[in-house]
Amino acid sequence: MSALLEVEGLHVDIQTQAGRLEAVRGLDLSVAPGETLSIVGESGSGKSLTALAIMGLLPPGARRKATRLRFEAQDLGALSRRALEDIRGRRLSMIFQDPSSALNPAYSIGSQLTGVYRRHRGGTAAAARDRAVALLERVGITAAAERLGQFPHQLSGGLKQRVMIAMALMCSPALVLADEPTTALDVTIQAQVLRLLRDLQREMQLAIILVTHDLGVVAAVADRVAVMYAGEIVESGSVQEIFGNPQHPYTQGLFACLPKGRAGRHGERLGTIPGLVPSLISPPAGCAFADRCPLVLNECRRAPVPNFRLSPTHAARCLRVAIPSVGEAAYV
Amino acid sequence: MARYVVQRIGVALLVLLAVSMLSFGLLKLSGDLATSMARDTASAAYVDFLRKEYGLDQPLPIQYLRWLSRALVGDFGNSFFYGRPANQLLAERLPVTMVLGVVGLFIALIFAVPLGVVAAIRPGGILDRLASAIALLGQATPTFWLCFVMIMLFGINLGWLPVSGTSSWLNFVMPGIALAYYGAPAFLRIVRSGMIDALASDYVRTARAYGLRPPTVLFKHALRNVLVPLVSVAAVQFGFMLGGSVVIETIFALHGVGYLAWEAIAQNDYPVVQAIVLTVSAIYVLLTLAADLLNAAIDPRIRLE
Repeated sequence: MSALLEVEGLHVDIQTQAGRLEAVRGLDLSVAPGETLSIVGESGSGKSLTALAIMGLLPPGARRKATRLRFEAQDLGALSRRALEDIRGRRLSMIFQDPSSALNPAYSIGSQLTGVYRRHRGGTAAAARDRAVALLERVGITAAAERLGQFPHQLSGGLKQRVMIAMALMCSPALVLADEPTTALDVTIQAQVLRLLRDLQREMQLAIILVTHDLGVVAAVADRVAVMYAGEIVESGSVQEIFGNPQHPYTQGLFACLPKGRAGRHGERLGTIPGLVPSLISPPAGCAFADRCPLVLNECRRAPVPNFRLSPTHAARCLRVAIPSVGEAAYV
Repeated sequence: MARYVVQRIGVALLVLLAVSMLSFGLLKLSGDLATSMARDTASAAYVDFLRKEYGLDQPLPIQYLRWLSRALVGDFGNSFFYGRPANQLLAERLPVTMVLGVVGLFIALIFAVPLGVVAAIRPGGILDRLASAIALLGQATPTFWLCFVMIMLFGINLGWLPVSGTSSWLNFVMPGIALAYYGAPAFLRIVRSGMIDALASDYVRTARAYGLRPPTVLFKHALRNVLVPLVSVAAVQFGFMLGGSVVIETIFALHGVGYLAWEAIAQNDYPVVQAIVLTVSAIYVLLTLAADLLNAAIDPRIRLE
């Protein structure tokens, strides 16, 4: 299956007071139609900026460079502003982290939903309204027709995120970027929203890039996982490969930070990864994780670590993968 | 919504009541009314007569209530200077000031809102700096100086516009511009800062993420959220313009309320001063009320608070 989205050599630089910060450093990824790729990483790893860079929505002061940025056989980097606007919201859409601030407080949700639809599809107000009602019902909002007149502040967080999802899907896009879509929600609502996303994806043949810091979310919905650290993808693979056979010490460290066993035994100590993320204003020459890595070798710091392929789908950016004798990282 | 309206009207009435007490109190503080009415040469008997005649021998609360009950029906008594009812004088002058205020407000808004929007698109850019320079100049330029420059240029040298009187709408062009020049910087700043916030907001990013065109993003999604502070500032600023147009009215010989107020204060013409203070305050309160109600219509969140 040919890729829906192909990204190669993506860089995002941010101009700060202290200098130029290399927030995303040469990132490659691809998404096939209908699949879910999850980008996992801690705050500051560059995962949200990656999503915004793909959308062309980087904040002022941030710059994007990429050797390849293709979506549905079009070069997103070479498109005119108008052509890009024609794609956004229609073929390529986005769900944001905090629905309370991402919806316009001054307009009813009906107006915001139909506005997106009529922008891309034209047609009558009645047709747009029907579409909005149908989608609100599909995302599990009862009394959808009456809800159209309500304003964002009249809805709960979970409902707002459902509205957001409906808005992203108004024009049946091929790819939706979801940036921490459940982080702002209550835990019980999180599960419902994730289930909804998964169902909608199957139903609408939707590809999703799910940006999250939460491995539980990844396990629930992703087909493939890319683990980001300090602006790079350090490991990527299928969910089975990443969860069953993590190879990069950082990925292993992430799992060590999770409580073991569903119930979370009492008195159990959670693992931590010692140290801090390196400054990306002058990133290290070698592996960015070297200073925190329990298995660090001298070679790790010398030169950029290549991405080692472990299977057709699994790859890790770690020298240890090429030197298998060293064994697994031990975290306490 | 109904509750909100009732609540706002209630607040407005309370404010008016407070203003009336202050206005009445100020009059009392300004000295013995009977003495000042009687002038220096009058006999003590005449002063006593005046005191009885005007009810000034009664306890203060009674005096206030009497005065208030007359003020409520627009009776502020006769002007000491003109010898005619104060409310009549006011009614003659009010339209001039209102027209001037509306013209000034209109010019200020059509100038400041687009400029504020353009300035906010690229903060620190050339248009933004230009707008800031204009705003600074507007606040630093004395109004009277601007009036004289305009009179010399457009009134005398070019002869395009009349320099005094109220005979046609052309008479209001220069005073309107002068008044707008005074009011515009506040609008410019509120629109600019509001738009900068709105354009950096998540909901504007959402609008862009869904491919909405820049004019839609700018004028529908962003500007709508700037209207609430703009309307509030405009109401206050309009009040200032009505009350603060004394200089402009004097220079252009527009016989409006500002000019009347200045005369009345200079001549200790208390009934007229009171009529003006109360009427202008009432207009002010009404404007604020109108702004509150307009904002409730613009922003659904206000209605529920």
